[in-house]
Formats: sequence, C-alpha cells, structure tokens
Amino acid sequence: MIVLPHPATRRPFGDVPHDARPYAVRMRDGIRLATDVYVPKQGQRWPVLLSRLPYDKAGDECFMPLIARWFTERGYAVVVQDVRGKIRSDGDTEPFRHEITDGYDTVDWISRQPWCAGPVGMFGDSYFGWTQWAAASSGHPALAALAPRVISADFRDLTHRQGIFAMEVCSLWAFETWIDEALYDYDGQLDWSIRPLCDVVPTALGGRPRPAFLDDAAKDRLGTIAQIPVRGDLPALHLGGWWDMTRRGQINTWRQSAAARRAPQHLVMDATDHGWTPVRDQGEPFVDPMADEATMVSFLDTYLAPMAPFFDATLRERSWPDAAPVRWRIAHGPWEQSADWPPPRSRPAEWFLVGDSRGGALHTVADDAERPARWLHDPHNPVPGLAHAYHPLIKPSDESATAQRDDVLVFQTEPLREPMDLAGPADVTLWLGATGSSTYIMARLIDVAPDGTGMRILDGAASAAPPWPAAVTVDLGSTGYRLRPGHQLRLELSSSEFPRYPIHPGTDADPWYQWDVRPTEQHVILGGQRAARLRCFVAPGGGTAA
Amino acid sequence: MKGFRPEPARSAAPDKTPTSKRVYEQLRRAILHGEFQPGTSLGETQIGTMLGVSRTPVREAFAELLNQGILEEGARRQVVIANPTDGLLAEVVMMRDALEPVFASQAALSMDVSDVDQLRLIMIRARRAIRARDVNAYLDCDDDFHLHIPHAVGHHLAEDALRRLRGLTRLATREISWEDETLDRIAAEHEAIIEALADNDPQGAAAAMAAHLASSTPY
Repeated sequence: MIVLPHPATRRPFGDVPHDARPYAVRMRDGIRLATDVYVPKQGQRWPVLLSRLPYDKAGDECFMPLIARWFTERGYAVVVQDVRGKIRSDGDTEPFRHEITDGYDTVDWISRQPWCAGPVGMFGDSYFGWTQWAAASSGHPALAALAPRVISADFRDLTHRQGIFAMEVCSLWAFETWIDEALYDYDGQLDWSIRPLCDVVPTALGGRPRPAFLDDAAKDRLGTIAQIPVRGDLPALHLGGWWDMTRRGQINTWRQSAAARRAPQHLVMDATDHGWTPVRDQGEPFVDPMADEATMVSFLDTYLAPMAPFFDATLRERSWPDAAPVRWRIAHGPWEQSADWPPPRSRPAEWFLVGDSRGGALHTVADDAERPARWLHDPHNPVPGLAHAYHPLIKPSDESATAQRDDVLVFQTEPLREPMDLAGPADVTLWLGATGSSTYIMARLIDVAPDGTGMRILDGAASAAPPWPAAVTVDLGSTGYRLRPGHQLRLELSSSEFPRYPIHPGTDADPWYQWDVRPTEQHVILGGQRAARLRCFVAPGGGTAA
Repeated sequence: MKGFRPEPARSAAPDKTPTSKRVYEQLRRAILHGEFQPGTSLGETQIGTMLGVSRTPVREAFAELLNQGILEEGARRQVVIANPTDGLLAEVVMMRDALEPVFASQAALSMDVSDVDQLRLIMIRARRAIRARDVNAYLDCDDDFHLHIPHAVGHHLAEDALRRLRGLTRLATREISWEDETLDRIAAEHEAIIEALADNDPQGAAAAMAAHLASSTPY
C-alpha cells in the first residue's frame, strides 16, 4: 500500500432537509448554535426530543433527519443541534467545555417556543449521549428524561482503560471530528508507522489544520470538564452494547444513578458494538442499514423502538407495563430481564492459568507449584490489535491470527460439552514482573469455535510498576455471552495491542511524545499462592434458563 | 475500514437529482473555483471521464453554462471558459444595484426568525473561511447569502436572475487576491443587512444593501 503524505480528505456536510426549520440559537455569551426543528404534521404543541451532536445534524452519518421523522410520526417535536464549534455552529472547536451551559441554554430556548408542550427529553449515542449528561447536570427544570446510548457520564471511560490511553479511538475521533479550522470534517487513514505517536494525526492532516483535544486526552489532562457527576435525579434509559468500548463506564453510570433512588433508571444491554451492529453467527453476512430504504426503515424501528415506551412514560405520562430495571441480550441467545446487574442468579467462576512460557490451559484447580511464564516485549514489533476500534462487529476479526506469536500467552479450556452463559463482569488477577521500571498488560477473552477461529468476547488493559512482581487486576468489563457446545474459552495475555493502545517503550520515555525504546523481558506467575486467575460470572442452566 | 465511520456513508434515500443537473452544478462550481486555467477548452469526453458520467449529461450541462455566459464557443467551435467583457460586467453591476435593494426591502416584509437565522448561519461559516484564508469557501458563502434573501420569501425568479448575474462577476474575479480586511468589511456589511431584515425594516434593508453594493463592487 502506498501511504500518502496527507491522506485526509474533506467530507461534505449534508444539506438541511426541507422538513426542518433551521435556527441560529443564541447562547448566553452571544455564540449562536445551528439548530433544526422538526414538528409533527398534526397539532400545535408537542413534547420535545433534543439531541446535541458534533457529527452534522443534517448529515447521513447519524441520519438525524430520518430519526426526527420517526419521532415526529409518533407525536414528538424533534430538535437537533450542531454543538459549539462544529459544522454550522459558531464558537471555538473544543469538546466538553461548553456543553453544560449550551445544553441549559438550548433547553431554555426550546421551553420558550410556542410549539413546546413542556417537558423535554434527550437522546443520542456516544458524544451526543454525553451531552445529555452535561445538560442534565445544568439542572434546567424543563429537562425531564434522558436516553444516553453507548456512553458514560465520565468521558474518561472512553479515553482511558485503567489509566492506559485508548490511543486509536481518540486519534480517529480527533482526526475526523475536532479539527481547529472548523470549516470541514475529514475522512482518511492514519499511518501508524509514524513515530513519535503524537505525530500520526498531524501528519495525516498535512501539519495544518491541527487536531484539538488529542494531546490533552493522551496526557490525561481533560480533567473534570469531561466528567459529569452522576446525580440520578432524572429518569434515564441507559442503552449499551456488550462490544461497546464504553460499556464498563456506562454500567457504572447506571449503577450510580440507580443507587441515588431519585428517579427510575433502566439499563438495556444489547449484543452490539459502539455503532449498532449486532453480533452474528459465523457466515451470517453484515447488513448495512444504509443499503436501501427498506433496510433503513426496519433498522430505525430496531434502533429507536426501546426509546418509544420510555419517552411515552416520562414525557406523556403513558403507562409502561413491561418496564424492567435491566433488559439484556445474551449473545447467541435470547433477551432476558433481571432486577440487577449482574443478574442475581449469576455466580462467579474461577479458572487458573496453568502451563508455562508457551501458554497452556484454563483449569478450575491451580497447580501447587509456582512457576513463571516469560515472554519478550519488543516495542519495534508490537502485537497488532485485530479488532476495529469502534465497530468490531462489522467485520469481526479472527483473533486466532495473533495466538501463535511468542509474545502472546494463550490459555484455554477444553471444548465445552454444555452451553455456558457468561452473565456479568469478568477480570484477570495476576502477579506481573518486567525488566523495565513499568509495563503494560493486555488481556483478551476469546470464544474459539470448533474450526479454530477466535471471536473476541471481552478485553482489558492495565499498567503495573515495581516492586516486582506486582499484583494487577485487569478489568474486562461485563458481557452476556453464550459459549456453545464444542467451543473453547480462551484467555490471551500480551504486553501490547497496537495501535489500540500506545506501545510501552520499555524505558522511562513518554510513549506519546517520544520514541526511545528498548525490549523488556516480562513474566507472569502461574500456580502456587500467587496463581494467575480468570474470574467470570456464569448464569446457571445456559441455554435452558427461562 | 479503520475509521470512526464504518463505511463511506451512503444515503438511504438515493440522490434523485438528474445527472445533467448534478454535472452542471459540479462543473459550474469547478469553473468558478478557478480549477481550470483561463481560456481552457473543455471537451465532453474529458469532462465526462473526470466526473464519471457519459457525454450526454455533459452536453446538456455545457448548453446550460453556455446559456448562462460561463462558457462560450471558441474560434473553432470548441467550448471554452468565458471571459466577460468590461461592458458586460458594468451591466451586471447596474442590474444588481437596481435589483438587490428591492429584493432586500421585499424580503424584510416577510422574513421570519428562521429565515434570518439562515443568513446568520451562512455568516458563521463565512467568518471561519476568512480566518482559514479559504477564499473559495468564503465566496460560496457570499453567493449563498445574496441568493438566500429572495429565496427565503419565495422569489425564485429573482433568485435565478441573481444567480446568473453573480456567476458572471465571480467568473471575472477569480484571479483577485482578496485582502482579509476587505473580506472582513464585506462580512460586516452583510451583518448590517441581517440586522435590518431581522427588524423587518424594508427601508433599512434596502439602504444597507445599496450601501453594501456601493462599497463592495463587485461584491
């Protein structure tokens, strides 16, 4: 492949459709934000749904015009707004900083419009889920319900994993979304062979314009502007997916909201990724919702349907008889309901990592003898991250491709005779050593099919520092996943996953701004008192539970 | 496939614009953005290949651009980018001076908040384009601004006439290197017109437009 020096291409904005009325809504500091209003064909006043996003309210990436029509047909007025500094809105291009006050001022403007019946709800994914938490924290009395999807109130859950920078996600996001000249959005590829890593995105942009946000995220300097305190005072529908990288934070946000006991909090977890793609059986083709109009119509029904009874209940005082605290989908299985997460019937199960430097097995009993499993971490030859940073389910990677590497330790169960349902969180606890003064450890939980292909179920990353060996728990987050008979559960350990995370340099150099590297020898303790172990929550009666 | 966006986004609603109209829009834009050298002759096959279409829609687009005076027939009947005479440009200025203050005063009578806000949104982008020194992006905003005034109140004949006149000025001014101060001054004049329209003040809007045309000839 020829790598172009400036591979960024400009992405055109969508035209505001004819059924939208555009406004330039004035914020308290005089900055005006581009805002489209869609109203139903019948009536004069309606409950209002608002979404505030950085991805073009009129474009086809988030298809807000289609979403607006779906809701107007159901009796809601819909307001969609480009956030400050993005697309058609004025102001500096800078995420997070103004979303609380801009959310308040926009809800305030809506509540003064003649077509507003009173209560305002908000909806949207990812950053436009986060803008809901920001608006909620502003305390505007007209804001009555939230439906944040694939996001937590603390944006650091997206930018970091146990302190390690989520480099690929943040780099792509900055490149495509937060460019300081603010005239265009960009598409294109990043060249991850560039060093130091901080130069990857600026190089793709040809040096000018520059990405905002990225250096602050890399150095974990976003601070409290990206973290919204959870109060739980508004009814909320927390919509997530088991393959969404923010799910761990989102479940935390739901738990904190529910613990406040101030308003109903519903958690809905589907077997989807950060987009909306569902997990599929092997060989089942990917269906692009945008392939044609009929596919899009049926996709919108699936995507938006969970919100309809929630908004009808919170904004129109209609009854919602089958409301449940937690609705969740077991991947390769049915939808279930439970009173809590993890479901009360789930129980923790433990597997010990048994073997040596070539890997080994996952056993329910540990070896008595303690022995190290060793590998070399070479910063010049990192373990490639196979899963897509945002959309791992569109073209799921075969995770067995890296299992043969000497620097990837693989432990797996025997083929299962009965189905096994993972239902709850999972983590890996281990004692880790390295010849450097700090190191990283990445863990991946994989479903190995009878044909040997591997499907990633969960993953995590953590850092460790002396005294060696150091105890580390790698949090893998939660899932609902059915392992079918004949399949094996596999755990992979490595010291890198690139470019998903920065490469640990093996030295004390800054992995973002510098490239001063040296290989290090790593080890993890197997067996004995400090035996490495995997813990998962398992629901009994996999495949037969009601 | 490693981007935030899963695939190059395609619209669920297919683009229903006829090919010839799309080719016309693309070609007009490329010419006015100075993407062809002055005096370039354009061939149907060459343009068709460039835009990935057959010769028929290109021929139809050429006919429309010839009609608008953006293209003209060269000495050996080939199609070249037009070079408007000073006399023609003076006529364009005369017509705009005569028409646009009237369009503005008529629009001021019936523009609502959203109509005026659309002008504000155009100027947000225009100000950004000045800062980024992106003159074509700025001049596109300038076109959008002037055309939106008759468009917003349903004066489509006025809008069409103005588009044709502005096409000729833009063609003649492709080579101008604009000073930031000039563009800032033009933007401030636009903002004065917006305020008069927002106040539903026909005299004020006509006066602001006339003052703008007098100060900013040919913009």
